Amino acid sequence: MRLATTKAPSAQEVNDMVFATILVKHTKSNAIVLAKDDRLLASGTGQTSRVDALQQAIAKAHRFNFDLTGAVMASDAFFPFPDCVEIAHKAGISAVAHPGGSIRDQESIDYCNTHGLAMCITGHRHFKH
Amino acid sequence: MFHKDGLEPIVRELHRLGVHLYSTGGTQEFIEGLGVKVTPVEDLTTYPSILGGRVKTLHPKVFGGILGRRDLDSDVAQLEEYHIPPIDLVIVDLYPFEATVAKGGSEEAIIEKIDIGGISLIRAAAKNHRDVVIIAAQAQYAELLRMLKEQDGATTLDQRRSLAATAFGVSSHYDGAIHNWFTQGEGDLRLSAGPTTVLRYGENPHQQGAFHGNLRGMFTQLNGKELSYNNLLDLDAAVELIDDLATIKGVPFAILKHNNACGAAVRPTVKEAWDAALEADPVSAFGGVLITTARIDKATAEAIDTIFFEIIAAPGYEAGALDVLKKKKNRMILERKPADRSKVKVRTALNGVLTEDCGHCGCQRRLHAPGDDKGTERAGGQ
Repeated sequence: MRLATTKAPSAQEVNDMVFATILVKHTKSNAIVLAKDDRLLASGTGQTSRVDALQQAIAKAHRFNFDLTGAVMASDAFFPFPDCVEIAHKAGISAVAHPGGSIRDQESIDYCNTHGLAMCITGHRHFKH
Repeated sequence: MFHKDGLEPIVRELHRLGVHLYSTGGTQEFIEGLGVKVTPVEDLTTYPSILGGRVKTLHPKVFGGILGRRDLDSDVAQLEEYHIPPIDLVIVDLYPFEATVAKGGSEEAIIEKIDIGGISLIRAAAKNHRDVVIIAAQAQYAELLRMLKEQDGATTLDQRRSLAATAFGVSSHYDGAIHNWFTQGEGDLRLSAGPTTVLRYGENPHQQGAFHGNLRGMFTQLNGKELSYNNLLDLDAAVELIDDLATIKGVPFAILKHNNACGAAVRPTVKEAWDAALEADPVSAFGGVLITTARIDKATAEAIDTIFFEIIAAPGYEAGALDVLKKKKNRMILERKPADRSKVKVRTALNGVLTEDCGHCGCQRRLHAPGDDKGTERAGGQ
């Protein structure tokens, strides 16, 4: 994983990003995984848009009373727009892992830098259909 | 035969039954070493083994004895005319071509492991299965021994036909492996998978389904109903996920539904991992597939027992734990064995099949700074 933002993740966030990335690798695309302290909090699975996957994950986490403050987000593929990091930030997510590769990666990175999120780029896309 | 393990009781049983044995090279010496009379194939053919062993059995006196039809007068007459003894049982264990390739043998070594005599003996004996018994691999030695003992040397046509089908499976798999080595993945795809397990149905009850692979090599089923098509898909997803999670320090536990994880956690103990995994979504966990890489203890079994689930797969179960889990008779309890999985993924698409490698990327707990080409590890929190 490569650090993309000015803010570096905590050691726990790094661990959680690896945990979440392993889970998202084995989840049907489009997939978003939210995790904290080596535990799955919620995932969005098999959606036709990444935003839908994220919103499904956030809604599930809330339904089971998880506080997403300080949780991490992993995505199975890059973010085509900065909307996902914005929605995640507003839900309390503090660190984001994704494979990178969008021509608009910088827009997501800029959003994270402005709002104090850490982001790591894994370099490995994990589509699963 | 390349592998001699398991041959001794067969030789002794054949000797007891008064069977005349023919053999070559190392197998002949092995039989003689047991104090059992054996005729060298060279004596039958009156020809020596030539070309460094490339040609030993390829002779009409051998193949005539195998292929001659016992109920056809003209065949029987010719066998008599040319002094060809009928051969009723052929046992072959082919040169280990695939193992030699896997070991990274030289091209010369690999080519020498392309069995010619053995594969020809298999095909001839299988073709004439009406009169001949064919044992085409070491894996069948035990089956042969059982038949010899239980049936006092006799076989039924159904048995011989079944053995012939197995034999052509062995020979076609062997040729497929040779083809794949020659083409190095650029020729037409040759795949063989088995043995076949017919499933109750496919993904849905109106579809027929089967699994082609060695399920018993992966799991020992300790309880419950037959694994279904969807169970196997879930197990595949579960095994892949848990093996990746096992790279993290601690005990991983995952709960899957429709191939997706609906609960997953890594904790110091299996009970803590289960509790944490279940919390993510106790609703979806209903009817799920449970998997871990640790032995299930009694406390964990009691906690798990409180919910309805389809399958649990773990490397082992404490005796008390098994008693708790077995209370539900349909619950599928699997003991997972350390076995390799397919390295190539295959699925049908349009009028062909798609393949890809398993794509292990090696997710690692490390973080690299931007532009850090040397890959120096950096602790988080800086």
